Amino acid sequence: MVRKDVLPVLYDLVVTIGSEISLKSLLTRTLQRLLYHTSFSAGFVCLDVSACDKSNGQIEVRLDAAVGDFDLIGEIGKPIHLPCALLCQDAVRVDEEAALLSALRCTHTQYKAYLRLPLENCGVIVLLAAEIPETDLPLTTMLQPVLSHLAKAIVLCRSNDAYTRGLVTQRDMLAQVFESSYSSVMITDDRGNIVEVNPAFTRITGYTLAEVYGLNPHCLASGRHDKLFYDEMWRSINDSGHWEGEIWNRRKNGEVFPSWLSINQIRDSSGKLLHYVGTSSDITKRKEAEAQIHQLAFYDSLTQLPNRRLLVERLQQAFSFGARSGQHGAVLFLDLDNFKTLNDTKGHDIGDQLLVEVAQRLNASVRDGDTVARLGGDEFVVVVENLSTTSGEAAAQADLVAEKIRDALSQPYQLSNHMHHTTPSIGVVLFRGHQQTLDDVLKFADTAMYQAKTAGRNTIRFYDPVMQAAIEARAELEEDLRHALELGQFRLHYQIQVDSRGRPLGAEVLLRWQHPERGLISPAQFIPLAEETGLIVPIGLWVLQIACAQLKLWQGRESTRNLSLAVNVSARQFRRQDFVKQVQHKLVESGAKPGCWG
Amino acid sequence: MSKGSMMHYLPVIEAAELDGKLAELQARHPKLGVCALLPEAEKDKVGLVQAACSGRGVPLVGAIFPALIQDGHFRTSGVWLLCFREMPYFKLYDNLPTDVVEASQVAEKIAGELREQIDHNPDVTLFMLFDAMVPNIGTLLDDLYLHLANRVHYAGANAGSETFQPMPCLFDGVRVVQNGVLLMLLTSHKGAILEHGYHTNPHTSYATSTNGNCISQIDWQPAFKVYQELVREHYGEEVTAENFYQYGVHFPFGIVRANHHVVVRIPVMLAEDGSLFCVGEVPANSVLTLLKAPTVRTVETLHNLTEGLKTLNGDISDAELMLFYCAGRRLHLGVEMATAELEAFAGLAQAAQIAGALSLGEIGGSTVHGYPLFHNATLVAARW
Repeated sequence: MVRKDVLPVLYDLVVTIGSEISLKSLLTRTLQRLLYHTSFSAGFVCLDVSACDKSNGQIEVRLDAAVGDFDLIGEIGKPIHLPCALLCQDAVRVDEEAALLSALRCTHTQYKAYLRLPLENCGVIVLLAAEIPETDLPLTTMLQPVLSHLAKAIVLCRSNDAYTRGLVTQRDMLAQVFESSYSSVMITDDRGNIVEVNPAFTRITGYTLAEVYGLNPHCLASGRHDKLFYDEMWRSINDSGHWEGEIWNRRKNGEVFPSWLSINQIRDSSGKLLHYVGTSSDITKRKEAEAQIHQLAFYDSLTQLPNRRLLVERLQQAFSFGARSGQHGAVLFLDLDNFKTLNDTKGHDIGDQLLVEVAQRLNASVRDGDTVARLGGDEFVVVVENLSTTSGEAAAQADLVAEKIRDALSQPYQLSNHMHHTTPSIGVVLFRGHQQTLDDVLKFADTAMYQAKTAGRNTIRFYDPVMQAAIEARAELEEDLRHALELGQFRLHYQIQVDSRGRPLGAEVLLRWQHPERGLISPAQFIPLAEETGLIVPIGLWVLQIACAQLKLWQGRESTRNLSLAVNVSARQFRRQDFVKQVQHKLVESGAKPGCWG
Repeated sequence: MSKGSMMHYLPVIEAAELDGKLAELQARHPKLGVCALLPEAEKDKVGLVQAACSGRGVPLVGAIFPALIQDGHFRTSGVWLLCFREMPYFKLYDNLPTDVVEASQVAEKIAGELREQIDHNPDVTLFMLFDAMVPNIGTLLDDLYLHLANRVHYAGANAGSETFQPMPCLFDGVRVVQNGVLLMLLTSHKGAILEHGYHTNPHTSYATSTNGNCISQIDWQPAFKVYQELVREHYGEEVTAENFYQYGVHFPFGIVRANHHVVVRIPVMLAEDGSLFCVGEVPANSVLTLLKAPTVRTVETLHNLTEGLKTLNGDISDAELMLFYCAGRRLHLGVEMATAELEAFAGLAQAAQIAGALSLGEIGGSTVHGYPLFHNATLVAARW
């Protein structure tokens, strides 16, 4: 044996052992190199071999590695019973041991020789050959330091394998979390360019990793957020390493969707920024659910009108608005007369149909911005805002709305095959700012509504008695005005007009209403009412007719022939397209000369 | 050629002749399968062969080599149809990975697929035709051996262009691929005999730093420097960077393997840093020896080859043999001597027919059921 023949073999084995970090690879590679250097054709390694002193007995072991024999390779990892004489005791190179080696049950090669190389306290290597290879090397002794080195490497590799297994388990778990997460996960590099996304990201946005790799996440921007939004986001990320909030993004198909996004910075132990991780959930469904909850919480499911809760909210807003603007608002509390009878006789389905129709008519009767709410049953509330700053005018405006509603709701209803007539009873309360509490306003309106019911249904009642009296007086006046013309209660007074020397030039016609009970009523009282109700038109025609007759009369007398007559015309009448024709007709009818009109 | 021959050489590749031959063979062997060998000059005819086999429903595999061996000569035209009574298991893999981990995974996958095909027949040969441009054939063989070990015999050769230019050179019935391997499991087959006849120089060195087919250091010194010294010391020749390309083929390295088997590695390229590139991988810490052309002893090589075949198969007279002859060996010996070697082998073997190809590397076991090694400069022979 020459020193120069041994050292390269040991060198190779030591380099081989030192270059492996996992047990399986260490044992396999070492076996391969041992076979190469010794010219044995196959070999195996058993670790954790129990001490055995029965030279003729067997011991249960596990093959941890095998090279060169198909049958032995098939036994790797399995328990196997092998002779103690083969595995135990010192290193040995033996020939003519076919009987002993037959215990290996190798079918492809009949081994007769083996080389046993014990490993310090942890196992044994056995090399096999059909014919013992010739060698000048003292294998059993020269390999001893290498085997000692291998024993230590086995301990290290096992430790490293356990550590690696832990890491792999952890990595697999994290990978599984990443892959199976229902939340979208997007990872960028330190410059904010996308480097990884999970399947949920693709499911939610429609983009695969290949499509967004290297892009800035701004590729998802919906355009719904301004620069300030993003500036604030990045300020938070840079200051605290974190941002969380709702953001609207755009899917690949162009659809804009809401998501709840959480962005975190990932830094290494030295604080160097490595990644940004964005985790987000598509909250479209949550938004829809919230909207549904909101609908259920704030709207009546039958009529889709705001319910009591939303009514209260809107009233609060109206109070606040009134406090700022000084304008009045009004609450109209109404219910349907004889609704219970309809429900009892026709059933709830028909009753529900009526309520839905009433809701639609109410909505059609008010302005945008006014609130129509259903409190339950057949009780509805209308909140009217932006009324006059003076209570009288505001009451009149509220009354007009109430009348409009009463009229709308009094029209016949087609409910399935049934034609139904109903009327409302309406209670009205005015409010301005926070002069009254919200509960009081609703309570007063409710009271007024009951007063309307008591007054015979299909009625409007104001809660304030003074205001109610004023409204009633106005209503009475309007009613009387409708009949005044046919009852001949209007009178024309002529106020003479003279020149500078006191000679009469003509006269101005003045309209007066001689009420049989109230006496002479000022035009200031009834003209606005006549204009509001449209009665001004027939009244104006009557004035023209009488004035023409008077002019004809004057023109028939020498002393008054040249007098002119001036008539004030209401703007509403003047704007009528047939006004000129009407004047001409009255003049022709009277026979008066038109030149004396002023 | 007897009527029952399973190896048929067609000197001209024409559709009608191919179809006629296939029809004739199919009449005798309804489950006929074919392994076709084509010379590089006929590479454009692969489609014709595929179409002919497809038309007859005959399973086909094959490869393109620098030249064919027929009747004791190298041929650059025609096609060998090596026939099977029934097509054995085969699989064509392309784009084999070069990364160590990936290669190991692919080898495990291939071994798994092969294991499922191995029946109880004790003699199975894994016959492999690699694209010579695959740079890690040795590693892949190592990995395959770790899984299949002595369950199969290993034999094969490398196909491709003698210019070593990349070329799709492996095919089946529909594909022609490169950077791959064609595997066949030959059942009831006792493997191949591989011989190169180079003798080991008693002086050995160690490839102390290698990477794939590149030797950077020998005995911890620049590889070329050591190579120059070895050639000068043992053969008295002065190798320089300029004449290296003429010397490499005549003074190849031998990797001393187990049982003192020697695997020839012909250095073909010299890098500026003194590294030497060989045809075939050189494992780290390989024991190297320097070989020399005159030590190629043709008579002994052919004798060993013939006797080996007889040991494996018994009497081989009138048998049909397959032979792969290394292109590097022909380059070293020259065409005339290489042809003489072919003729001598035919005379020694007394076989009915010898079919084969000029190959770009050979694969054989170091012993029966032994470790598969990737060789250069050898002859591989087997019974068909």
